Amino acid sequence: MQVFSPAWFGLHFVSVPHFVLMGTIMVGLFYDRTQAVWYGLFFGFLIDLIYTNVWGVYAFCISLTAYVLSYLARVFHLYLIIVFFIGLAGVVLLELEVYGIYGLIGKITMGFSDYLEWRLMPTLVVNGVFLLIIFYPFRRLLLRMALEQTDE
Amino acid sequence: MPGFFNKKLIILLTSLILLVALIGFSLKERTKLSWPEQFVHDTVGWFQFVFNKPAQYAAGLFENIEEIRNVYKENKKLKAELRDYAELHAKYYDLKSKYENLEKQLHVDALSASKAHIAPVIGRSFDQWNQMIIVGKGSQSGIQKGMAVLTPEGFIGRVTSVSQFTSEVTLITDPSDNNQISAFVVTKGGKKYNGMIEGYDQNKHVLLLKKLPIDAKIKKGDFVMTSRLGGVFPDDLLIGKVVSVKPDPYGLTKVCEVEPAADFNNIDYVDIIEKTSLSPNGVDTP
Repeated sequence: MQVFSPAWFGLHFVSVPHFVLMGTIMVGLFYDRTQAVWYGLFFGFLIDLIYTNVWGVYAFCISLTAYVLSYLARVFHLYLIIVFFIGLAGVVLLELEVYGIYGLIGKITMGFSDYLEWRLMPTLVVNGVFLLIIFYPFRRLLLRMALEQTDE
Repeated sequence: MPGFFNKKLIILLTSLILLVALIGFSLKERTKLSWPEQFVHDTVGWFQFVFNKPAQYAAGLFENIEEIRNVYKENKKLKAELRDYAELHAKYYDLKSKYENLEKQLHVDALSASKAHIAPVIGRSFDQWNQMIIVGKGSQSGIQKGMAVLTPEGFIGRVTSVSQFTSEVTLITDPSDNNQISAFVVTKGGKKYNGMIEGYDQNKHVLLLKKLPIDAKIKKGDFVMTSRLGGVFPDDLLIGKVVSVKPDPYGLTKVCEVEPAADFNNIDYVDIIEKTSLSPNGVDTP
């Protein structure tokens, strides 16, 4: 099922996609903070249900990260480059939160330094590329939705 | 402002409590999935199945490009292996027929027979902390929790939860604790030593085979297979090859590092083995 795996070329790094987080962060930045939290809870819980045995981890972490980062909309003008870095910061935050919670419940066997070396960079690259691809179309959709809401 | 701040804090604390309760609830050993869970698994599984086809096609293109690079070297290697294969094949059939003859003569029924279901892989966990795959066959096709799962190369894991049309398979590379497999090492001289596989080292990418007798003469390259003595899996499923042998920290047993035979980076179709062994009375027990 692996459509693309760096391990085919003999490389041992892991690249973790967090596309749902990218989408939720954009909703939080351009549309509405509360809606972002609801989306994060719903899709995060779906992720937990399907892909993990422990429920609530991704639901809590994705909504918390999106909520916290949505406050940055007041501080910055939301150009592509700024949202790009906010997205990367979101990925780092999410990874830290998930690592923390899994560490508390005993699911972690990999040390933190190995983790940084093999996993952080490729993860940031993959999620950054995804954000760059969806930024313009998704922002147009969200701003149009926000406009429709204020017109009501 | 003070009132506003308190409301958000209360929401945060309540959600933390809910999170802990949810984690605790889901970490319990649940034997059967509740029907809403099964419904969600099957619905998402259907979409995964639909997306799988074009994704596999695209992946196939990449794989073909990679394979073309190595064609000449691989061809030479395969030709050499094929010469040995014909002889092994003949010996295997010879031994098999002798064994079956002896079984009939002694009126001993097969110690463990098995049936294989082939299932496509429609999903995989994306983070490193959960190693599991989702396959497109469920209880409607006869899959049950606890069945062994293999690829053509070797043993990869067991079925841990079953919905109507999909199932989840936990791989042996998963870092959870209850991943123990009864296995034996068979040396080139034909001696068998029984042990337990109790864990996976994610840094070296090897399984740890423990509880082997201290005087076992095991060498690098010996094969490790599942043992029916554990009562869980059928016999003789290839797990991997021994990479290193050393005594355990107390000096009472030997510990082997086993490199898995299966390639975990490229799992497309799996065989799910249903054990149909016969009890001493000759009655079928699933």
